[in-house]
Amino acid sequence: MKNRYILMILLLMSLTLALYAQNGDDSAEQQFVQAVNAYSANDWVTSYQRFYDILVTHPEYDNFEVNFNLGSCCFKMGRIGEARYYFERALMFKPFDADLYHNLEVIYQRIYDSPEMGLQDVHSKRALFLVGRQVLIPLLLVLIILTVTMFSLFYLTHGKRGFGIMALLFFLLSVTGFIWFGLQRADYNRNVYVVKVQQTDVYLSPTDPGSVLMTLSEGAKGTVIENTGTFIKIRIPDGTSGYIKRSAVISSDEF
Amino acid sequence: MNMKKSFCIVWILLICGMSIFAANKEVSVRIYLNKDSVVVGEMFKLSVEASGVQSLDYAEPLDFGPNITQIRSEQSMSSSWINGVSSVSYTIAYYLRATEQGNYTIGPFKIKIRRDIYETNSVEIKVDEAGSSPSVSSNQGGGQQSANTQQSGGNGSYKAVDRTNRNYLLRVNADKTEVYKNEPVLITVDLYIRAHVQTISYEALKLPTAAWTENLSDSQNLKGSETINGISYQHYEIEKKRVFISREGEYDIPGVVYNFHGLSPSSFFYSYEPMTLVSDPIKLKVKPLPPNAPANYSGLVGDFTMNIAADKTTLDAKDIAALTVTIEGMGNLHAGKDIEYKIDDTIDVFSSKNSLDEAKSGMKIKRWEILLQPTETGTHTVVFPDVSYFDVKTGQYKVLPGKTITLNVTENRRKSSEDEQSKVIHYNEDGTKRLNVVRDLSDITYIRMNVGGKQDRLNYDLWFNLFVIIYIVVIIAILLLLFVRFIIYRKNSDTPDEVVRSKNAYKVFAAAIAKLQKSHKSSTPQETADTIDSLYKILELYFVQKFNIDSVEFTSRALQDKLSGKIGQESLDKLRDYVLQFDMMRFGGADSSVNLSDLISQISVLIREIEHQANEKTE
Repeated sequence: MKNRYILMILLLMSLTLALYAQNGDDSAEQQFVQAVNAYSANDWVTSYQRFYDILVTHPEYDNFEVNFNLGSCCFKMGRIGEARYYFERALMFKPFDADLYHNLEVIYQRIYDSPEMGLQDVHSKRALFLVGRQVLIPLLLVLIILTVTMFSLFYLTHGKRGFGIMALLFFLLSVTGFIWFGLQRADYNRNVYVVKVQQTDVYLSPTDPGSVLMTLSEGAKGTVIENTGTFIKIRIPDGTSGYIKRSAVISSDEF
Repeated sequence: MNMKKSFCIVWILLICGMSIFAANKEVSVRIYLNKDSVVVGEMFKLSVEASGVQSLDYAEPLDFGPNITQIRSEQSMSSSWINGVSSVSYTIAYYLRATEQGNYTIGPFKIKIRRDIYETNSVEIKVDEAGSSPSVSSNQGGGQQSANTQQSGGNGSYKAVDRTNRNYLLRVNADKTEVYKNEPVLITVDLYIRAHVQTISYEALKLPTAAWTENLSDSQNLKGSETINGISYQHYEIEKKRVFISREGEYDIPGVVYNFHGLSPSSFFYSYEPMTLVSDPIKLKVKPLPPNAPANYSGLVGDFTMNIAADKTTLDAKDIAALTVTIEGMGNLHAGKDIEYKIDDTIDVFSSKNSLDEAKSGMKIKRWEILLQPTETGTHTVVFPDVSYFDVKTGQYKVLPGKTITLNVTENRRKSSEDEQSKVIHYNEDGTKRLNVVRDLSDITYIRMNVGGKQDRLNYDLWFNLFVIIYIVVIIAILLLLFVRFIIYRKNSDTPDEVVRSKNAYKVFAAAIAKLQKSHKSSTPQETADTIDSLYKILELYFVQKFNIDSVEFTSRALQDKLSGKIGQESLDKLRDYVLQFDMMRFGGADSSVNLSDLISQISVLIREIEHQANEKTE
């Protein structure tokens, strides 16, 4: 009898949560539909704005579909740098999507005049996100529980050799899993920038407009070291650092 | 001590005497200039001197006039003793600069000395436009000489401070003196120095109001070293401008004035004194353009080329075609009008933007990017008309030919992935055909139609932190378990080791006997003997651990002696019987129906019974 009450309470709680979640999703889905309609009417600007709004107002929808569509809108508007940024972000969610691979080839063709120049990034992403986090997280959890259980059983039954093997297995698997998971997490959170204007200068000092180190073209990509107001400090290809105008790039910290 | 006292008294008396003497001296005041004519912006010195006093004050504020500005001032006092006559004077020097040309009178000033008011004389100075003054200006009142010496005439001549001071040179140069309307003229101001300059004050180029100016100055203005008349100088580029004058006529661009403190050439010691470099004015003649301008002429002057291109000429309806028009060359591209073109009504202009870039060589590139979207299928044309410009090299109008771009618009349909591949035929060296499949990378695929899943439950940071916590907890738990089991439990346990061994005796026996049952062989007498020996060792270990005895011999009497009272008589008899059978098996007298494996199993059952009896006894 007591179990029945507990079951009913749990059922009600789940229902309430589900309804709440459904209400939250409505606006994101509506925005998505509006964005797709605008895209179909070749109104790329409106479509881009709607997709962008989804990312800003519903950050939980930072998924493959929204990033893929944002990249498509940017491409249609001729904003190749931003298109690269969004397509490469979509790669983290579905690294083996054929359409995405094709679109990235188109983008790299525009930026480098050769798709092969940029595909190295795609391949490294594929290796890193080979097992998506939707799979990796439960897998790691099950692995830890299973290994610990077996470890305990061998300990209790005084199997000294089995105990040693299980201990070794536990450490090896868990360390491998953590390294993989940690690399994915680091790559997902890595603050990158992509140049979105035709050309922009990289300065040695943000306060000295004469200290130009180099010029980057649209689509050039790199790592952000830190934000300093209207400028961001970036890692440049020779390993040193420089400053670039924030308005000239799109970077991960926008969201 | 007395010597020092005497010396001090003499000095005090001397100073007091001089003061009394000076106080009784006749007082006079005057003002004088170091130059009688200057150019606009050139620095000159006005000295106010009071003789016979050691200080002065003004009865009313000094007024140099609206067009003369004070830069700085300095004070000095001098005393002299010549032929038994002493004199003392106090001077305040003002460094001034005129902002407009003209003749100016400075003074008189009213000066208050003690309780009396004195009036100075007045001085006059002539101020000309820069570069229009005579090459040498004279001194007045023994002031320092400051003259502009022309080294060579015309534009681009080097100007020195004076005939004796070649440490500093100034040059203003225009690459042309006669140009057409809107033709670019490059003007540079260069400074050449051999010694340091301090306290710089610079009057920049004053260009006509009808001029469009582009500043080409570099942040790095040191251009290296240069040898002029056999003397090596450091070359600094102070100003570099490209000027386009939009009205014909003759223009005088005044020379520039560069005031500074430079190394004195006459001083034995290193000392710096105020100096001025003044350049010649630049005369520019701007000619009108010839009257026979084409009808579509929009004001471009220079030397240009034009390129018109489309990224694709065959496209689907509602697809986008990007047309690019580029005009590049040296000239006034900034003044060019927007590009004009004619398109069908069935083509929408999606966006049109232009940009103007400049290469380091000075070449300008103006680019228009027009995105067109045809809405209907068929053949459409976009007509770009001719663009004309005035070529300054030939002095004639020229035409950049326009272009008609034809767009073939087909029905809009989404291409399948197979259609996106196009086949390209290559020919090998032997003439055979080679078919290559090339992917069409001109456009992207269509967008995704559903919103996709939420990622909130799979947040990387959340899960990573959770796993780290789980991992740490598991490690701590294992270490704690091991610690409790092997350190604390062992240390604090009251149970003697023999009791623990007794309890574990059966586990050890069970494991060993199970292993023996699996591995034993009895096909030969030797193998049978080895198995029985192993069994005796296992049994001995069990009884030693279980009953805490030192050893067991497997003979009938020894078993009776060692185990009597510890196990039941019935079990002891069974054990003795089994040992007898083992001995007979070892020496070949055993019944052929008796199997070694069965005997081992029966021993296992017996030991289990003994264990059971022992446990009952303990309880």
